[in-house]
Amino acid sequence: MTSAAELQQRMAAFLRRPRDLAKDEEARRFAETHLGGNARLSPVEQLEIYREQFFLRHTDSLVEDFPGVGGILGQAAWDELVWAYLATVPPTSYDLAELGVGLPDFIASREGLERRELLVDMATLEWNHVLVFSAPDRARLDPAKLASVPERAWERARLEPDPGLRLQRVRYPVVALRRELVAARDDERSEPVPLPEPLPACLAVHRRERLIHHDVLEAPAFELLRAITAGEPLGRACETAAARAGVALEELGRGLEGWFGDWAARGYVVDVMLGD
Amino acid sequence: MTAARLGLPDLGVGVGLRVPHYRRLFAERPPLDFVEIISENFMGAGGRPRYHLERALETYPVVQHGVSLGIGGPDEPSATYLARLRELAALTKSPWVSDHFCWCGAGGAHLHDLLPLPFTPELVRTVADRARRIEDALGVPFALENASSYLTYKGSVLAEWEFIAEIAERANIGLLFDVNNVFVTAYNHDLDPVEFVRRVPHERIVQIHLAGHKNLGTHIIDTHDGHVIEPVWDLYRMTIERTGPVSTLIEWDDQIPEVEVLLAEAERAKAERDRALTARAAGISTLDAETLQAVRDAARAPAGTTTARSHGTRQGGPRESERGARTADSTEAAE
Repeated sequence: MTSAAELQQRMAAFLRRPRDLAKDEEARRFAETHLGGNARLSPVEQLEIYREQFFLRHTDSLVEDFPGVGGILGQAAWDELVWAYLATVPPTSYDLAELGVGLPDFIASREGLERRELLVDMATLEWNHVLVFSAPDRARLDPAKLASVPERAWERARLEPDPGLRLQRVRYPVVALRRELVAARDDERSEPVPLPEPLPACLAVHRRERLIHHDVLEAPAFELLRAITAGEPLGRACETAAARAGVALEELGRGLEGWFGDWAARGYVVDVMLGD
Repeated sequence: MTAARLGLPDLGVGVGLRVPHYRRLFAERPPLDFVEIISENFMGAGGRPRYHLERALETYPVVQHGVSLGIGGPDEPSATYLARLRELAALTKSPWVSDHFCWCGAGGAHLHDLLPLPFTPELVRTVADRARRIEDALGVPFALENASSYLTYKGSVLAEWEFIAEIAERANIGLLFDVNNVFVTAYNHDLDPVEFVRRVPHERIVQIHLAGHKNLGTHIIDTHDGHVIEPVWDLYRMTIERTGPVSTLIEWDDQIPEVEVLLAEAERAKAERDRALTARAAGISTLDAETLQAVRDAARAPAGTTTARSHGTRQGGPRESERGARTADSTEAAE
C-alpha cells in the first residue's frame, strides 16, 4: 500500500509537469490508481486542475515581479521561458516572493536566447527590486557617531550597508526601459516598445521612504561601495575599488568626502564599526 | 465539556486585508470588527509590508491566517517558518493563528497550493501530532481550516468531517470553518453540504470564512472573486445557529471591488449572523426543510455536465501579495 508521503511525492512531480496531464499516459495511470474521479471529471482531469493552478499561480507571481522581462520577450516567449524555469527551478520557499531568485541566472544560461544580455540586466534589476522591497528597516547612521570616529581608526573601520541597498552594473538602460514597458502594459498599447542600444552604468538600487530609487554612481564610488558591502575594512576597500575602477588610490581618496556625504544623506550606510 | 469557540473571543465580522483597500481603510477607518492578514505576506523583516502591517494594527484588531504550512505534507513543518510565524504573532497579538488541512509540497518543492489530504487514520495521527507541537511552538491557540478541493483519493476511508473532527479533538485545536469551501467541496465530490455542517464539532469553530466562487459546470473553482451565493448564506446561518456567535470573515481575493462593495458584503454577514443568533436564542431555525433541500440541490452538479477544464480560471486566495515594486520613477504614490 502506498503511504501518504509516497503518494504526495509522486503527485507533486506530476503537478510540475508543463503539459496537460490528460495527454500524459503515466499521469493517467497514476490518477486512475489513486484518485477517485466522478461522473463529470476523470481522475486525471481532477489532477489536471491542480497542475493548471500550479502554473497559473506561479506565472502570475513572476509576471508581477518581472514585468520588464515579460515586456521585452512578449507573451509567447515569456510563457516558454517561465514554464521552462518552473520545470527546471522548482519553488522551494514558502514565500512566493522568492520564486524569482534563480531567474537571472536561468536567463543567463539559456543559449540562443535573443537579447540575452538585456534580459539578464532587466531580470537582475527586477530581482533587486524584490530584495529591497521587504528588506529590514534600519535607522540612518547617526552623524554624531560618524563625527566621533578618530581619524586614525578609519582605515580599519567597517561600514554596515543598509539592507535595502543593492548594487548593479548594467549594460543597458533598463531602468528607463522598464518604466516604458510597464507604462505600455498599463495603457494596453499594441505597438512594441523600442529596445535600446547598450548604455553601461553603475546603479545603486535603494529603498528610501518606502520607494525604490535608482541612483547612478561614478565607477570608483560604485566599486568602493561594492567592497564595503562585501565587508572589507575601509582601507582595503579603497585599494580594491581603485584597482577595479582603474584609478589611482589618491584620485579615489579625493572623492571620498563627497561620496560619504551623499551616502550618509541617502542612508546607504547605517553603522560604522571600528576595527580592533 | 468543551467551551464554545474553545473559550476564544468573538470578534464580530471582518474582512481580509488586501492591498487595493489599504489607502482607504487606513485613512477613513470604516467600522470593521477586525481584519485578517495572510501571515506569509508579513513574515519578512521590514519595508512596505511591515509599514502597512503597522498601519493595520493601529486601525483594527488583526487575525493571522496562513497558506503555506502544509501540515499534512511528507516533510515536517519548517522550524524557520514556525519561528517567523511566532514572531509575527507576537507582534500582531492575533488571538489565534490558523492555516489549512492540506499539504503544500514534497521533495523540497513548495507548490503554493492547498492540496487535499487523503482522509486516513495515518494522516489523522500525523496532522494531530504536528498540530499539537505547532500550537506549543507558536504560543497562541492554533486552528485549521477545511480547504476546498477538486479531487478525492481512493485511499480515503473517513468522511472529511470525520477527519477534521478527529484531528481537532486529538490535538485539542480550533477549527476555522470555511462555509464556502463546504459548498465547493460538496459540489465537486457529490457530498451533502447540510450533513457536512451538521457533523463538524461546532464548539471548536473559532472563526468562519465566507467567499464567492466560480461554477464551471463540471466543478467549482474557489476563486474568491465575487459575492457569497445564497445557498452559502443559508449554510452560514445554519452554522451560526449551532455555534453561537463566531468571528466571521469575508474573503475577496480576485476581481477585488471597491471598499463599499466589500463593506456591504460584511454588513450582509452581520445581518445574516444576527438573524441566526436571534433564531438560536428563540430555539428555532431560520432554515426549514424546503430551504435545506434547496441548498442540497444547489450543491448538486447537473447530470450530464461535460464542460471540463478550468480554462485559465485561477483559484482564489488567499494568495495576494503586495510585492509589485513601486519605484521613485513611477508616478505611483508611496502607499
